[in-house]
Amino acid sequence: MSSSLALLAEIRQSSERRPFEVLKLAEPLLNKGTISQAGDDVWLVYEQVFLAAIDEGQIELAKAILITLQKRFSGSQRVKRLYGLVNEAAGHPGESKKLYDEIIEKDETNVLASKRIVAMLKAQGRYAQAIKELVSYLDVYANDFEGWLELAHLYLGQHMYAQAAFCIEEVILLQPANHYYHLCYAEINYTMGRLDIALKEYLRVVELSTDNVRGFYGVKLTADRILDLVKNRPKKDQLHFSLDNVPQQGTLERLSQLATERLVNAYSEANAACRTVNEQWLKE
Amino acid sequence: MSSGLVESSTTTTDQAMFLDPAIRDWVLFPITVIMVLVGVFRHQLTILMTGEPPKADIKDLRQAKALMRGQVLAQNKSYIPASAFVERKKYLCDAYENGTYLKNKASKEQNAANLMTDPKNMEVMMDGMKKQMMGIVPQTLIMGWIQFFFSGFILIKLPFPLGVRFKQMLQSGIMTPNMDVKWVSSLSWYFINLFGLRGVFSLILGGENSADGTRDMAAMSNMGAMGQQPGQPQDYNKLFLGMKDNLSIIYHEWDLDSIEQRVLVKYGKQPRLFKSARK
Amino acid sequence: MAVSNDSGLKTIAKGVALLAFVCMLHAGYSAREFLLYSKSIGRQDLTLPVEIVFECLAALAVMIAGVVLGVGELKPISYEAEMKRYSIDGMFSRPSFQIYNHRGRFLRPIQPSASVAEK
Repeated sequence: MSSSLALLAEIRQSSERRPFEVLKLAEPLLNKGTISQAGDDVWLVYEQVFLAAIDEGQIELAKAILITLQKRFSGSQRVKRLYGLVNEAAGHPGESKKLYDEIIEKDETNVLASKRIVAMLKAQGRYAQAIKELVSYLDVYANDFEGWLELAHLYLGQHMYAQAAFCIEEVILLQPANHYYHLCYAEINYTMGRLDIALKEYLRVVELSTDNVRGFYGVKLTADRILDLVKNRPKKDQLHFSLDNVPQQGTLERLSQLATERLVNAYSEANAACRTVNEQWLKE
Repeated sequence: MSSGLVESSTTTTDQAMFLDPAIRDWVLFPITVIMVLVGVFRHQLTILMTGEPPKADIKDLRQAKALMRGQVLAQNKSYIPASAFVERKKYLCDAYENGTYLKNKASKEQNAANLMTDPKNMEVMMDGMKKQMMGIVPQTLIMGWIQFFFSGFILIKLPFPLGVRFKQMLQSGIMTPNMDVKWVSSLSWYFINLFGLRGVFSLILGGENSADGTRDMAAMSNMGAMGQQPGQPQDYNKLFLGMKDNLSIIYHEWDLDSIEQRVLVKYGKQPRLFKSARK
Repeated sequence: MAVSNDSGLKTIAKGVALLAFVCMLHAGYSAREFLLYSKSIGRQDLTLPVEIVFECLAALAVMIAGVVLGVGELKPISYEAEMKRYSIDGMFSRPSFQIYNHRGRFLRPIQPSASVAEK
């Protein structure tokens, strides 16, 4: 039984969104009451199951858990927020909005409620407002990387790449050694045609994370693109791209070659179909 | 000759002294129990008196986070491209200069003295004072009480021998140069309790307790310095201007300038030619 | 098989370390006794006899070896190994901004298990 608790803890820590698995693991725990084996973490488990339940649309289960939590932590802002979440999931956004406004009125520094307001605007499809709200939130909490990440994705949804890149830069400033964010930054830059920065950031990804496949695909793509531009295209075409800071042709060729090699190596264990697709792509 | 010396020395180490069991029952245990009880009492009193933490003001937060942003930029500058860095530097420097993030923009010229009049800051300071008083008063009382009633007492005999250096620690308040260090005086027992009960408190009251008196002692000795204590009002305008100077002289070098070489070296495509350019 | 062998080795190593620790205590005690005795017979030369020094140093060496061999599995400390534990989904999930009025409730049949959670 404790193994499912351990699995739940793992999911919780990875902060991945896997509601179905969470519910499946948690149901026997709830039925048999063995959830209390979690010790001090039991309330975290309850919260986790609650979030999974509203994700899966099991409002009744969520409400039951909420009552348990309410009994233990009456007056807690964190539990209050969960009421708002239930209402959101059950399709009463008006109630939730009222609740969040109430929380903020009482304590204007309540981060969770401020974030929910942004999320609700997003849920209603009012992206422009969501962005505006989030920007004013980040004006205060400039070191909240989750907020910057969200803002970047909101901007990406609006095809505002330069702004998104700015947000990812902030995220990188806050967590410089996380290669996932470098990867995201590289991809945004590639999309914007800033090939020089994209190449370097892709290289950063494969430096931080050995044999990162997505990183090497990026390296290959960018290096070949730059080589093509520099060698075969007229100057006029190059103007659309930012290529100020690209390495020499020899280095580019070697990087491209290295990427090919690592990618072939990465797929050497895979099945034949995968391998041929990969090889075909590399040949192009 | 030599055998006589040995004999005399053994007699001095085995000082034939016996403690009245009444001392154990009426002095040793009471002191210990009272110290524990006072610790628990202090803990409860602190909980009672602290009350709710002062509500944070969103403008205060904004101020502090803005400064933090500058620090982060200065620290991790080399991970973003030069253009991105310059853009941020310019923005932050201007913002610091103009006091965009200041809580009271009007008070930009005012100095730190005026911060004392802010009622919230007053409250914070009072809170700190209260806590310190609560630490100092009972400890002083108990120490006085022990000194008054039990000075000159020997309380226990340690079951193991110790060097002469421990004499200061274990026999304070007793002026006998020849007594073996095994014997512990009452005042010393008080100090041993004072510093040694921390573990007991964290066992019975939980890790975060305020029963321990030693922290207040440390606080007391810091009082003279008075420097920038947490919770003390700070002059953010000055801090902002300092950060602005700090940022404006920073030399930016992108960490990825030589990344091609580093990656080639990492994957064994190129020998390590120069000592790697990273710091 | 290999595991039990390994844990057996570890227990032995821990035992050896403990033994070495006792030896070290013994060396310390001997040194003290020696000094007391030397002082009481008025000896001028107070350097420790070589056995005690040797015992102390040997015990130290054995203890270090025992402790190093006896510890549990060493974990990789590189940042890369640490990052391997996180997936890209986890790194880009923003829990506070998740929205809940989505299709989730229509995707799977509702299993009412609410009554059980109440107790």
